[in-house]
Amino acid sequence: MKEPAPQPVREPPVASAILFLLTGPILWAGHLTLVYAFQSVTCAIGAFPSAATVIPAFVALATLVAAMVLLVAIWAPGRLTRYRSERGENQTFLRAVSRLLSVLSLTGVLWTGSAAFALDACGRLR
Amino acid sequence: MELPNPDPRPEGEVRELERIWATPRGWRLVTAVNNTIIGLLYLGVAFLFFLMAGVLALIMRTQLAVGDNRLIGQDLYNQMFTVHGTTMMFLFAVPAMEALGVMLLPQMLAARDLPFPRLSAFAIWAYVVGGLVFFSTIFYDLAPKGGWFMYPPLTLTEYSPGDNADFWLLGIGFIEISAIAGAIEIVVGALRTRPPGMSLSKMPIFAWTMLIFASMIMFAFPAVILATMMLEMERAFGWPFFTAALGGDPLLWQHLFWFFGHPEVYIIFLPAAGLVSMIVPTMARTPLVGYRLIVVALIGIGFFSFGLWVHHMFTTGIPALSLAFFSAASMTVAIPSGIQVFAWIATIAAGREGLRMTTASLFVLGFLFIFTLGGLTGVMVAMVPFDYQVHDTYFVVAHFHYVLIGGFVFPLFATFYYWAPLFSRRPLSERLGRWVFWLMFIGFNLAFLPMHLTGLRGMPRRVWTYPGELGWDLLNAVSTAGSFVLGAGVLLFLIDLAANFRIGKGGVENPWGAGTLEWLPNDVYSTRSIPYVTSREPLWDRPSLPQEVQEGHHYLPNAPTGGRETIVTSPIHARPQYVIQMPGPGWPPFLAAIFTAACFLLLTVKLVTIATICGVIAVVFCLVWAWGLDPGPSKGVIQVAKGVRLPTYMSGPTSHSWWAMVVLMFVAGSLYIAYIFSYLFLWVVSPEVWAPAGSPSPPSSRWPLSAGALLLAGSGIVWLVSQKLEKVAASRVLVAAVLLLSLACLVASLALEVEGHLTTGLRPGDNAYGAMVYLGVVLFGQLVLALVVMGPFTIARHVAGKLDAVRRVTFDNYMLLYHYTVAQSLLGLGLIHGFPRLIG
Repeated sequence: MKEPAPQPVREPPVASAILFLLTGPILWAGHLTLVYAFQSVTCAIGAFPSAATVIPAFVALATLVAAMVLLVAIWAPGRLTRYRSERGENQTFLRAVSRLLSVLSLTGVLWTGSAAFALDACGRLR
Repeated sequence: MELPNPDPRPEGEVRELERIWATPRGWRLVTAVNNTIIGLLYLGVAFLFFLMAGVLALIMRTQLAVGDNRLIGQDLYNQMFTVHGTTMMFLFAVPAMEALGVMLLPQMLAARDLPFPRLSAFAIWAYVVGGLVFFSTIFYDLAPKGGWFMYPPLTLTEYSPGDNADFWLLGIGFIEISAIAGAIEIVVGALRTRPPGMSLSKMPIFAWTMLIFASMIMFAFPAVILATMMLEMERAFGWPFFTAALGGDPLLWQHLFWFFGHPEVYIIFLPAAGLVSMIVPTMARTPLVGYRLIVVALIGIGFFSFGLWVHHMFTTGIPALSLAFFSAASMTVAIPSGIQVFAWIATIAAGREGLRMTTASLFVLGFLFIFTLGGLTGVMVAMVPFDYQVHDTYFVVAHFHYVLIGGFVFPLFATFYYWAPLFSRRPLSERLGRWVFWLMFIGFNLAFLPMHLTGLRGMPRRVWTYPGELGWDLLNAVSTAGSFVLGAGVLLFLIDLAANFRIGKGGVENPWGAGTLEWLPNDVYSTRSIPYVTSREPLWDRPSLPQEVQEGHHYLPNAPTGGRETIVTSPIHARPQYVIQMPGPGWPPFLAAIFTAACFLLLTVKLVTIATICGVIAVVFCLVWAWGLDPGPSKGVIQVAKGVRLPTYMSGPTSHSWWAMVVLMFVAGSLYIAYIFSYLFLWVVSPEVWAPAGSPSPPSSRWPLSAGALLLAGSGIVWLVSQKLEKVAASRVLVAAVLLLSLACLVASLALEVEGHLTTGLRPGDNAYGAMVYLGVVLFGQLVLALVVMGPFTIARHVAGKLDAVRRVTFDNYMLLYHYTVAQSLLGLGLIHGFPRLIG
């Protein structure tokens, strides 16, 4: 009789590990997509007569929300994705990488968001 | 540490490994799949393209050496700069890095090979044939002339008649598919074939960079594949995606191209940075400073590089605020780039005995100098007002050559000198190498530093000549002289290569005293046993490791299944999970690649019938190849170490096959997201002329609802079969019937979607809206076509007794792609039928 196959070693789902590691960059990408899409569509279709006010307000709100979430990700990595893994050197490494990526992403989000306060919402350079 | 296999090993195991992993001889060499053989071929051909594109560069520099020169004509010059750029980016840089991944990754991970060796072979042969045919067009006046980025409207049929542009679109589009095949191999390889114990925190930096490199290919390349499809459809069938008069927009091409094109720069740079991160610690004889920060920097660059594409479009009239968003991202990416540079400098400084000044070290220092300068000018052009001044001038030419030659070519030459002893019986000459370095370093700076000034003085790019009285002559003459000095350096390298590089084993083991696994004693089967890893520099921390590995005291010191195999480990902690049985040499991947290349290239010259026949033959060879996969669990459980027994077969989410399919779905998803972006983009840029104004209304909602219901029904059927496979598999008729029924649902859904639009009178050539609607159908159709091939294949496997409730990988692949197709198509139905109604 054939020996039954041993079960493969289980680890937390890879998808949750990836989300845990990349929380910051994913939020950065979401923020950039959101503010760029909103500004482009609003300017193109003239949805709001007062685009000059609405767009900076929207960008500010999106930046604030993204920054808050990123701060949570920096303060308590894993809380957003509920990722849990066994303790050890690997886990310390993943937490540090996740945290530092969130710091980097926060810089990017604030840098991008600040542009809305310096420039005309729909104006072109030429 | 207790050794995994502490007891002495029986005689004959090494001979058995040598027999199993033997490289085919003579003309059968083309069937080889060993990573060292095909990796070398891959790298060799990529380097050949570098040399040929370099010769084109020298001819162009000679033409520009003085004003009013008539050495070559304008038309040939246009072909030359297009082929030079295209070859360097698509046929040299990315393939060279994939080649290094294929060659070095299994050695660094001490795996016997990557998990899909035949896929690597297929990708490489397709690239070799396709690339050589593409390059040869320069000899027949058939080369494209639109620049490496092929902007429409210049590349539309009206302004680029003939087949020249089609060679770019079909040839390069096809080579991108080959790059994606390689990327799938690398992602699964880096995550699943690491040695036991090599958790993510101990992974070599080069493996990290290859993982990020391959992931970036997965998300970046589909955008340009979609763009090339659209441009070729416009050229061949008149679907006006880029014709403004019919609602299209040439800027759509620029968005799609640069969404690929900017990450492409980092796709090239990141693995090169990974190579540097491997060389610097060895030469400084100290562990890499800031390993963790470098991983953060690599991931950060990988992400941020996708938010920079608009910085190539600063002068296209996009609103200033949009530009500012991307300008900010462009400057943000400088932070992680800087982190890496400081980490390398810190590592050099941390070495107690100083940096050993080898040829590889010189190229690394040259890289640091040149790349940093390129990075600084990169920050300059990331600023919109400055970019306005220098856009399309030689300043930009200087900038990107500093980034690409500094950031890629110099590390590549460092790689040649550093890793040559791994593949050659003799190392390359250190004496000649120093000459090579200094000639290349001086030549490069002489050629490209003056171009900053030439550009600031207003000389535009892509001009075949210029009036002599504009004051550009001297700077151009210096640049030309420098380019020949650079060329002399490369020529000297070729002499060194011819004199010293001899493929084979027998050289000095670990000549640099490195700490990573590729320097373990190895042969055609890689290492005798797969080491248990406890640190980032295992050879430094455990000096006895080479001997232990060679004596078979670590994992899998033999070939218990009697065939090619390696250990698959868990993706995060690298714990052994199962043993993968891998296919050996064979004709099918080689022939499939040849006929796939023939299909695409014959389409270029409009030989549709022969191209179709070649395509069908290619599919047949792919099926023959796939028939030999999925070996089943017949080998049972084997012992890989004392007390460690692993299964030799795995299906489901743990299996490498499942992983490859999921990666493929991400690629398909990226392409579809690019399509959604394109659809919405045309509406955003000109909502006043966008359909339904002037076009028929979308079909009545009965059509999409029926199509959607069929999709859901099909998905439900496949899900049910998956759940009940144990019972259903007993009946051959039942399996065939339900799988055919699921296919019928898909085909009927596709037919309904096509018929619905046809009944409204909308045609793809009418306007850009029509073209977009039918492009959605094409994307749906190509997935259906893939499933129409996979479905009967799955049935045939079942009929032949090669598919059951345990041996189910073929079915799982069909199931995954089926569910993905349904999800994508439902989204498409919602977009195409819902969006026009939404906006009224």
